[in-house]
Amino acid sequence: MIRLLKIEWLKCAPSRYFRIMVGIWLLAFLAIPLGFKLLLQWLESKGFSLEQLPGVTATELPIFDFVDIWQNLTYVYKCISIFLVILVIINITNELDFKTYRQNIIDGMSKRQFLISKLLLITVLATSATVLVAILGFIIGYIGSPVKSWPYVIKHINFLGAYWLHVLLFLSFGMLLALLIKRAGIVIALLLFWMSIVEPIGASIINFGLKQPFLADLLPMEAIWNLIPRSIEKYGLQDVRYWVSTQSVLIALSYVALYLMAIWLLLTKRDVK
Amino acid sequence: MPELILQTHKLNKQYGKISAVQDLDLTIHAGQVFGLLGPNGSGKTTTLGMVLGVINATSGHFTWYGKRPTHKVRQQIGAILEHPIFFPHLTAFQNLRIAAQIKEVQDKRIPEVLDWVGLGNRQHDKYSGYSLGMKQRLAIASALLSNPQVLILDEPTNGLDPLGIADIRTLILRIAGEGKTIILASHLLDEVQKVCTDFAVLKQGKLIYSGNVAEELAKGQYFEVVAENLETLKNALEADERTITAEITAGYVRLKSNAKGDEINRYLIQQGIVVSALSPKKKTLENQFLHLVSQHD
Repeated sequence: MIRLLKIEWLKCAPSRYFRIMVGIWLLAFLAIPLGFKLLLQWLESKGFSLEQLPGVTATELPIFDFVDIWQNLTYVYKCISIFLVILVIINITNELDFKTYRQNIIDGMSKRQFLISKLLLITVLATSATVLVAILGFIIGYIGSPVKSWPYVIKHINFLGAYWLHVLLFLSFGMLLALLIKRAGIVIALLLFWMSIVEPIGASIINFGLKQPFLADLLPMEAIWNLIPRSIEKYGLQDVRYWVSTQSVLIALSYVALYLMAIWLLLTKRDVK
Repeated sequence: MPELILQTHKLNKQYGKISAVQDLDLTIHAGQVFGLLGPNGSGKTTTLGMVLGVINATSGHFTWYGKRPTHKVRQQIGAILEHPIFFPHLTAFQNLRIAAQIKEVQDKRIPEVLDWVGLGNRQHDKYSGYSLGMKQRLAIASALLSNPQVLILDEPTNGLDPLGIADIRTLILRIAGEGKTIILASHLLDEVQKVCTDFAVLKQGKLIYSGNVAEELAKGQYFEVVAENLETLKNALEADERTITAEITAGYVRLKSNAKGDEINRYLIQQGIVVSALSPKKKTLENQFLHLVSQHD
């Protein structure tokens, strides 16, 4: 296990794509809280106020205060997961392009060990991202929150678990696409196209045209996004989901299992070219 | 009998309707430098791919060291299939660290193998900047990491310049000199003749011949003898008990004999025949090979 992790590390650490993608993610990770604060201050300076909450200014909204922070923070960080997905796509297509997967097998790795080394990569990425978000959450929460009692602090902290599952699912989706399509540029372009055009349209048709919201939830990107719903409308006193739904977790877990099975079959049943 | 290294039993690979390899039985023993010959597309690389675990055989099986093949066994085999394969953006040293981890070999082995192939002073340069000859040498270095008993090389001199070819051949002979078994796939007969002890010929996925290089070359040795009267020459030669065959062809007698050139000369003088020419000829492996391949058309 440690050896497989080390092999993956030796492949990634000196590579430019890895450093660039991790760098972009970290930059975005640090920029978001600062940017958010600036945004709220800017809204306040423009005299922003909510109809439903007269007298409450933008910076007074408890967006990054305890209880709400876990959902809002993980929701915001969901948007930068794509950089980690691109990292994984390049990692996998490189192995196929350069034929290093084949050479690894020839050199004495089993196909199973190769799979495990890649699963370790996505697990470590998902876990590191979650840990960083958790640390940031505690820091921001303790600085800004009016209430700091422990039960209050950890209420809804299960959004961190949902975030971990979100990253893991997204990364395994990217890995599967990379193994199927094999060309990094095409995989990334297709993924972005699917994410931003095909699925939103498909989801609206299923949701509002066919009136089958459950089926819409089963779409691959919906399964990835639905783990952490948007809750900003709550400050407009709208009714939104502010918990991790069991259904979304079950759908996500099923997808992870499905993707891993497909990845395993693709790695073992095909001749290694 | 020396230790059994690789044995295949009725190995088959089908690509749709095309048989890339058919019922292949091969046996390779320790210490052999085994040439796998065949025209392009005859199934050499497919065969090696199967025994190296990257191509799934349609049917049949094979053993390494008499045991069922596993990834552990592959750690103890050094192999290069088709081209040297490394991450282009990493240095030679970084690439070999990955291979060393896979083969469960300590990193201190890396400078040893790099020095051995003469890349010690270029080890921190990126692989993408290497010449083809250097890439090939790096691949051999990587294959030697686990100090394997067996080395598999697939067209190792393909695309190299004459100097590079000489370099790689010297390396192969040095490795063979250490008593390692080498399996060398090639369509260059001259190469096989120069370095191999044994060889097998594949054609359209079928094994059409296997044998020993030295024996095969000895079989092909003959003399061209010329004298004033070819008929008397032929009769005299046929009377010699060491003669295998003697026949008149275009202006000379073609003689296969167990005797050496000087012995033949002495014998003929004793018989009162003076030869105007007596030249030993060697059939090359190339002749043999072309003969074999055309026979199986």
